[in-house]
Amino acid sequence: MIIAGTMPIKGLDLVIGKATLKGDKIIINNKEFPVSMGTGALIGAVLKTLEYFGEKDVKIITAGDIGEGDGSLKIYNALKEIDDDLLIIHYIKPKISKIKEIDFSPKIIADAGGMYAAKAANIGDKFYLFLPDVGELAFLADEKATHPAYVRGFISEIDDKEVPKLIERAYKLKMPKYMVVKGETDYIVKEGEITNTIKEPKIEAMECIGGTGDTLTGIISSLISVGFNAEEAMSLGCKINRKLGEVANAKPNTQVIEIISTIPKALEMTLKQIKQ
Amino acid sequence: MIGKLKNLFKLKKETKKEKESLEGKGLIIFENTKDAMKAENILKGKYKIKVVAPPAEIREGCDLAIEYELIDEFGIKRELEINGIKPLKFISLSDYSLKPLELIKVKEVDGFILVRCGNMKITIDKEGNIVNISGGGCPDVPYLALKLKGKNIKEIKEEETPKNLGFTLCAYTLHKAYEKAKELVNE
Repeated sequence: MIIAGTMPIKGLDLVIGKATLKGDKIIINNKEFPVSMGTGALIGAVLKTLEYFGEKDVKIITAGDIGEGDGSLKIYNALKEIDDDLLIIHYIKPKISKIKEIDFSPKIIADAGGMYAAKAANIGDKFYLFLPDVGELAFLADEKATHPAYVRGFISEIDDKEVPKLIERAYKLKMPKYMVVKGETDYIVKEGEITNTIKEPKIEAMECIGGTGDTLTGIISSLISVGFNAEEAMSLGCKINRKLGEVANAKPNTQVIEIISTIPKALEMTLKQIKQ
Repeated sequence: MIGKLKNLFKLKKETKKEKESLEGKGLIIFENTKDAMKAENILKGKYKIKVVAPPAEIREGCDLAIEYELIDEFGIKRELEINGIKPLKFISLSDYSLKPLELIKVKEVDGFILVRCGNMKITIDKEGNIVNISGGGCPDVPYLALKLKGKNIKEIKEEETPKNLGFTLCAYTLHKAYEKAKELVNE
C-alpha cells in the first residue's frame, strides 16, 4: 500500500520511504512527523490497523505543503509511476491538470484533496473508492462544482436526510465503484446503490475531532490491503471508527492521537461482536 | 459533404476542449485596466494566471481580466489586498452561479461549541479556546489546525487568523467559521 499526501511543514522536500509509529510521532527515513489531522492521522491509523494483523508494509510519498501547492506538485509528479496495487491519495492541493497525469494502474482510494482533484477533473470513475462527508457528497453531486467550498446555492441547505438523493445525483456523473458517505449515518455504496448503513455507536463528539475522517480512510484502506473485500472493509471500517469514539470516551477536545491509540482494541471488540 | 461534417466535428471537439480548459478556473474583474495590469505584475510567478478579455455578458467597464485557478482564490485575494488592489469581483468560469459557500451552522456538543461552514469545522470551549479543527482537504487545513489549536480565539492576532495564514478555499471557509466562533465568544 502506498499513501500519498502532504505534511504541514513549509519547505519540506519530497520524502519517500517506509513509515513506523513511535509514540505520537511517525518516522519516515529518520525524519519525525506529527500525528495530527490529515496525512499524519491517516498514516497513524494505517500503521495501528496493520499492526493488529501483523503487517507493516506501507510506503509513504509525502512533501511539505502549507497550502501554496509546492509539495503537492512534487507528489503529483511522483505518482506518475507507482509500484504497488493500492494507492491512497490524501491531503493534496487539487490540480486538475496534474491529477490526470498520475498512474491509474493501482486501485486508488481518494479522500480529502485527492478526492476533490479527482472530481474536479471529472475522472472519478478511474478511482476505486471515495470517502466524502455529507457536504463533500453535495459537491460530488454538483456537476459544475470544482471544490466543496465553491458550489451553487442549492448545496448550502443540504442535510443528512438528503444523502440517498445526493448519492443518486452523484452517480449520474463519473464516480468510483465504491463510496463511503460518512456522517450521522454512514452509507456504504456500490455502483450507486446503498448496500448498507451503519448508525451505531453514535458518538457526537467525533464530528468535532480533526482527523476522525482520516482514521476511517486509514482503517478501511488497511482492511482492503490485508484481504477484506471492499464491501466488508467499508462496513467493518465504519463500525470500528465509531467504536474508537466509544473506547476513547471521546469528547470534543479529544485529540486524534488518543483516538488512533485505541484502534487495536476497537478492532478486536468489533471483530468479536461480528463473530457472535 | 464529408468536408463539412469533418469541420463540424472539429468545431464540436474544439468547443469541448475549450470548455474543459475552463474547468476549475475563475476570473478576476477589475474596475480599470491599470488595476488589472498591476495585479498581473503582483501575481505572475506566484500563481498560474493569464490576462484575458472578460466575456461580454460580465464586462463591467474594464476590458482586461485575470484568469486564475479557483483553488488559489483565497491566496490571490490576500496578495491583492496587501498591495491595495480591490477587484470588482471574482467569478467562476464554469458557471457564474457558483460562489464560495458562506452558510454557517452552530451546534453545542457536550458543552463545547461546534461551528461549521461548508466542509470546515471549528470547535471551541466556552472560554473561547480552540480545541479542534476538522474537515476540508487542502494542505493548509492541517497547517491551520496546528497553528490555531490550543489558542484562545479572543487573543489570536490578525496575522494569525485563517484568512492570513491560509491559501485555499478550505482556508476561506474555515475563516468564515472562525469569524462566527469569535462572534459567539464575544457575545
